Amino acid sequence: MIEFQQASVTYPSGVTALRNINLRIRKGEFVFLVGPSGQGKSTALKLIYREEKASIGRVLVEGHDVGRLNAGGVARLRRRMGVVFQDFRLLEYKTVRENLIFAMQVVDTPHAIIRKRVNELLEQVGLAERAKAFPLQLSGGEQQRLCIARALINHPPLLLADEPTGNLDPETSRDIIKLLEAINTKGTTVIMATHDRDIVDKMRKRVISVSNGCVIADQLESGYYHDDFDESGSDFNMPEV
Amino acid sequence: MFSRIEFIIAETFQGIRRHLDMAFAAIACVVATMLIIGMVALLQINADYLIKNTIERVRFMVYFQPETSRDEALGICKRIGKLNGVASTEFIPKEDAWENYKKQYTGLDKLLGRNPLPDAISVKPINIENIEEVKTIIEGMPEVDKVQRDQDVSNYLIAARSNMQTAGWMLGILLALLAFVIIHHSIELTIVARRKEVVIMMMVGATPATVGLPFIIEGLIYGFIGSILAVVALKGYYGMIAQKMLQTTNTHLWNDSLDIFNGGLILIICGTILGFVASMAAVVKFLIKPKSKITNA
Repeated sequence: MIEFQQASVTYPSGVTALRNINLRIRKGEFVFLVGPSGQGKSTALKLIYREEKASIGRVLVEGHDVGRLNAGGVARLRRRMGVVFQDFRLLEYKTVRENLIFAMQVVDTPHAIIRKRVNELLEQVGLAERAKAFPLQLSGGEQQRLCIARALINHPPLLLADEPTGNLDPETSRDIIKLLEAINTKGTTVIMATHDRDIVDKMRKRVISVSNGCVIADQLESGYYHDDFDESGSDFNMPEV
Repeated sequence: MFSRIEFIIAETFQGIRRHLDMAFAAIACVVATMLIIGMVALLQINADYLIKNTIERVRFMVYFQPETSRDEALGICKRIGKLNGVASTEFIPKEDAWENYKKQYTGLDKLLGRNPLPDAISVKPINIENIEEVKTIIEGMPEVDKVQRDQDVSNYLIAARSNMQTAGWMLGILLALLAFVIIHHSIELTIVARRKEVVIMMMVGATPATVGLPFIIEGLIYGFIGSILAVVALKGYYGMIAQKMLQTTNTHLWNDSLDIFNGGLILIICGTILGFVASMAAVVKFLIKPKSKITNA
């Protein structure tokens, strides 16, 4: 489903965010992208949703080289994935329901489908009772649930979550992870960038450890949070799946 | 499709509502720009109108050497008639000219005893600008003794029109640039203020058209409203001035209602295009160019 082929990202300032990444993520996987802040986890996600382009190498999503997509192509790509951020990025002046409606309107969804899909999503993320509340009236966990609901509006086969539990307490974080796991069980590939050791160790999913822009470990199954992050980085890549 | 149009329109007006002060500034600037451009155009049209009226009366006389025969003079009259810049010629035999003189100045024939006038041609130029050129060509003809032209206001009008045109257009261009900058800035502010919506739209896969159109339409509306206001103001003031000129100096200003309508339409189209281009530039800068990282905002 997703393939990084010798992908590197170097910013115009000369800073290298990712070095020579080779990865393959299959459909339906739940993958943790772990590592300390600023080591390249978010950049790897940005390459997938084409916020960044690989300076060298390429990234394939469902067989398409995302670096070669034009603006329309990027829009189509993003309809095939949902993105969840740590800072929620909700519209405070719109209610829970309106936030979802807004996200569906911009992708040209007919009114009848919007109504049905919004109700489905609110049920799925457990916010049906809070549909008329504004984001600032919600708890952090509820806000993140709304974020996840918004990411799922187009029935995407892929969900990217960039530190979705970063602003949440441990208990709420576990709820969010349960929700992501439930979504994954229904067939959606989930890639989550995090530095939350507890969650990673508890879930025992595939864990890709990133340090200094390099993949330093790729535990294909029953992974755990990698302890030996090398500050100097390494060009070592684990074998592809 | 309908829901998309609905959405784009709703987003456009939300953008305007959120930045009413900038919207007013942008519209005011378009009004000022279009007013100046419209005034310059009207002044120029009226100068042309006056020049055209004046030129109807402008003639210059070509007098022949006394030894030039009638046949030679008629031949030259035909040649002059074919020159570029000459609308028509009229041959005036010296006998006819003498008769006119005698009527005008009684007793002149008795005083002079004989007809001293040569044959002449009255030349009507096509326009005032190339009178001097035509005059020089005619003066170069050996049979021609003298080319005479009465002083008229045409030279003054040509110079005034030229100066007015230069100054007016320069001012118009300056104001158009200013309007461009203000509209551009206003749209930029709207985009920055709504970056969260923009980020969400981009993240869920809205097409560049869906993201950018509300901003482009917003600029277009500024241009459209601004130019309509300018046209209405111009029409009102011009009507008042035309009436006053007629009452006080008995001068008719240009007043072709069809052309006034077309001119107004052109101004509205120009203002709308100005708004469109300015907002398009802002959208390209912030939303379409690959370097723009609005999603990081």
